[in-house]
Amino acid sequence: MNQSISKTLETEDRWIPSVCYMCNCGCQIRAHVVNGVVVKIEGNLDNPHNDIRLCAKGQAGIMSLYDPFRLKSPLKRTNPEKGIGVDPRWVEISWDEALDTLVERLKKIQAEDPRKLIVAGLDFNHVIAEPLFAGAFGTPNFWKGGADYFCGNAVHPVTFLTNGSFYSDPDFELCNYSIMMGIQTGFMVGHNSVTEALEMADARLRGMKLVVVDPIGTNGASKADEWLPIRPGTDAALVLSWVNVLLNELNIYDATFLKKYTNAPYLIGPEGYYVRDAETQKPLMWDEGKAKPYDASDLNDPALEGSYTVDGVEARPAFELFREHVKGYSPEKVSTITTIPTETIRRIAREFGEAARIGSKIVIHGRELPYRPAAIAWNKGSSHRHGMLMGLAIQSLNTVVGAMDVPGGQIGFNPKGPFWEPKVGPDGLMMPADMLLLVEPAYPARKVTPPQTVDLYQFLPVAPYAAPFIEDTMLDSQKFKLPYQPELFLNFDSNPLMSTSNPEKMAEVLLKIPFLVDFNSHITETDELADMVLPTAHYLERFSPFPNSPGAHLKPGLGVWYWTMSQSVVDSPPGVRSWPEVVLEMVYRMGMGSDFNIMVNTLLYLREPHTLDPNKQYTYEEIGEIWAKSRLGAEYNLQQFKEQGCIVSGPKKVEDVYDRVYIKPKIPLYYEYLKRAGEDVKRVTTELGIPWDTSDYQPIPDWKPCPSYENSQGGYDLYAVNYKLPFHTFSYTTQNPWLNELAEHHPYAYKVLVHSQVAKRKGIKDGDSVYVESIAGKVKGVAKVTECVHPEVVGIAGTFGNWATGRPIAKGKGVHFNTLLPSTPEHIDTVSAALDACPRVKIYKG
Amino acid sequence: MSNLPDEVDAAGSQFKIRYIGLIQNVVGKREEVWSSRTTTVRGLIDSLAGRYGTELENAIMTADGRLPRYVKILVNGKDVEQLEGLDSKLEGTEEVSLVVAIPQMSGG
Repeated sequence: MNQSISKTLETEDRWIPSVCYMCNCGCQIRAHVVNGVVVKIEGNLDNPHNDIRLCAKGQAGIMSLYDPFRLKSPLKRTNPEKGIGVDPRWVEISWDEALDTLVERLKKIQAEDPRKLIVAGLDFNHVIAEPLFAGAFGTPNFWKGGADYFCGNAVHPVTFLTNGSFYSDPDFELCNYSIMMGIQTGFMVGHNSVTEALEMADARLRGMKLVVVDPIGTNGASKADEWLPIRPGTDAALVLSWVNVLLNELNIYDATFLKKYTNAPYLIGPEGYYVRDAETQKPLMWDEGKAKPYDASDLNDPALEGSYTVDGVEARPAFELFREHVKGYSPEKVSTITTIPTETIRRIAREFGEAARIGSKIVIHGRELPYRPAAIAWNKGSSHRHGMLMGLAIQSLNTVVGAMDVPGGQIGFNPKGPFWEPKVGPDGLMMPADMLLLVEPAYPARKVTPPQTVDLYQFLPVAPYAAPFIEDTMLDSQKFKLPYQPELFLNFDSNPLMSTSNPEKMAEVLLKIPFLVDFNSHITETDELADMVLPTAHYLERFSPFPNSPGAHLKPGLGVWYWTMSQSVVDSPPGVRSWPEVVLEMVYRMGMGSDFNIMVNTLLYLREPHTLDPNKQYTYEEIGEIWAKSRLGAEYNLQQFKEQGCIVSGPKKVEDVYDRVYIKPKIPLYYEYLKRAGEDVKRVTTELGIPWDTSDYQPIPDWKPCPSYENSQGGYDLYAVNYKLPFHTFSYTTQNPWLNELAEHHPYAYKVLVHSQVAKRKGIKDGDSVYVESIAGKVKGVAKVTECVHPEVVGIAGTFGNWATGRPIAKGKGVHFNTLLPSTPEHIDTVSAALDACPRVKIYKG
Repeated sequence: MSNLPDEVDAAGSQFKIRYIGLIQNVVGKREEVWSSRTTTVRGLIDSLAGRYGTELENAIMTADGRLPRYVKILVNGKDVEQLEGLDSKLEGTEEVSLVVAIPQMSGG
């Protein structure tokens, strides 16, 4: 071999560690780079996050990197006419021209009214850059696309209240009985999908029973011990029935846990409020024949049952009210709601209650702890009109058996860590650690005020975000008393026309905004409405600090504390830039550097001396290094992350992982504060003359029918349900040729699932072309006749059905579920802002 | 939005207030010179609420009287959480910054 060629191969053949971004799990990867070209991606060696393994999406990242259809230059439209299917007549422009145009408009808006800017998009590896920019600019309008419609709306508020964390999972290492409600955690779907899959596999080998409740026979359902096909949107009824059987038929509940760690013994007066100490206003409990404050030092055995008189007021423990309330959910009645047989409801309740082994203990690393190896988990299946109540109902099942943040139960994603822990909030209830709050917690409720943001966030005092309300507010801002009209939509790496609700309605919304700029890798569906599109770097071409937030995507449970940074492994093509770097340039061009740096210092909790100087300019990598030193210590630097990819800072302590018995704040079984929050919403909306439903602000959860449940008129005889495939992420991966190939060979991925009974009734055969139609829209697809779907349901996977010409691999593949979604306020949960995702539909050949 | 300082009341001690982030929508300016006889941050908030109304209080305080996570008050660049909280002293202060960020950092 020629010596110079040999030398080249030696010097340019490297494995470089980084972090995957083919989904939001943030798996550790290493890229094999030969002569400046990535030739392979695999899991990084010996890492605590994904243990060398990498899923199909992660390995296929190379095809997204070298996708010839990626944008290579900024574009501006020359056709003033905008609309779906209308050619913008793009022309290439320089970055200087693009940023000059953008900065000029931003300056004008900032001087007039910063609220006229909407910052949009969600890049999970850069969760800080957009809100920091928006905040420093002065706009409260930050919208995270489809993630604000269907993701954690009705999840985070509930897990913050009960686990003190952004998410929670079953403790797979010790759990013996797991119920999954509408999710596939452990089957390459979830927030730590690889680790969860490994732990699920080990748990099943160990004998853990898995029950999956889902209208669709998903991957998870097909591998479960038991699949319970349920009528969509009725989960809360099922769970409350299980709780009823445990409390009122089997007398199975963890009284010790409820008394010590929850507000179950708090006394409730006839109006539904806590009975409080007249002087301190602290909620009271009944103990040793008298009322005592919840935090009295001489508490002995507070009552869970009974009726007492306190200062002339009749009072009963919250638990007793709860127990009476759930009597309304008999298995017989709930069977007619859910279609799950009565005997199955009773059997699962008994199995779950017995599996929880109430009263048992386990010793871990020398610490004796309660052992409750049963957990019920839920997540995105809560996208329903009454999603918040559904989440509260589900967590109440974990709570009554004492399986919350103890070994074997439902555990939070790192609620307690080396330098953070939950706090005691008003009335002794839990507030999560500030550092984990990627969104505002649900407790205490925020003040309700007249609208300031386009999503009416001010009317939703316990919701994490409120995006679905943007649509009707934008279309009729006077009705909702919005005091300004947005003028600029600045979007980063999201595609709202695909990822939210019906695209025609969303287009109508976006067309209300005069100027739309999109940072994206391709020309997307949304870009048909854009004025400029600016090409963004692939994740292998950019730096991002701490993509694995401890509260969201850092493995829960025992193990080690680890920290990661993503680095570029190859250069971007000429004309392509990392969008956070561009944001920094915009900040400095606009003279916002000082405000931005102070915002970074405060929001990232940077600690002296590792803070940004308000008078200096920084690169994104410099900010990352300062953040690392502040978080981990002065001995850490960026170079270490670049060399190792992942840094382990030490083992987790038992009291961090199973924090329930080590922390002071209690968790609620009775949501008195929700009742008060609802009254505040009612008062303000009434004063403003805005109709607003507050009936879901109640202290004990209920099942209530989704709008579609009672409306089958017009021939809409079925429900449509969306489900997740393990090898695609949102619409983000649909342009990837390898993943497209997987979907094309998959029997269900691009199809419309139709139950065999329905198919027979309607004369539909496997492979027939069919229309699925709701009151919001109509989609065309190919039928897959199957029994892996509830007989009243048609199933549609993923976020498919792209139509953008700039994404030709994705174009025309599969079915766009969101087209079917009505998105008026009647279809949005007025507590959590979750959009109802089980529309009534009809299906017919066409 | 004016960047010019307001007229100064000479009765109390003087310092600059910087308004950073969303709070600018309430006060309509980026900074001003403030004169006040109050000696603590809590007193300053009361004074500001007196001038800018409950909208300011709503923007920086929770219903139960705390600073929410996304609001920071810096006295001479130092977070009051590292001092004495809302009881932090203003004596000798040259600059107070009120920082109000976006409440939502992420989603998903």
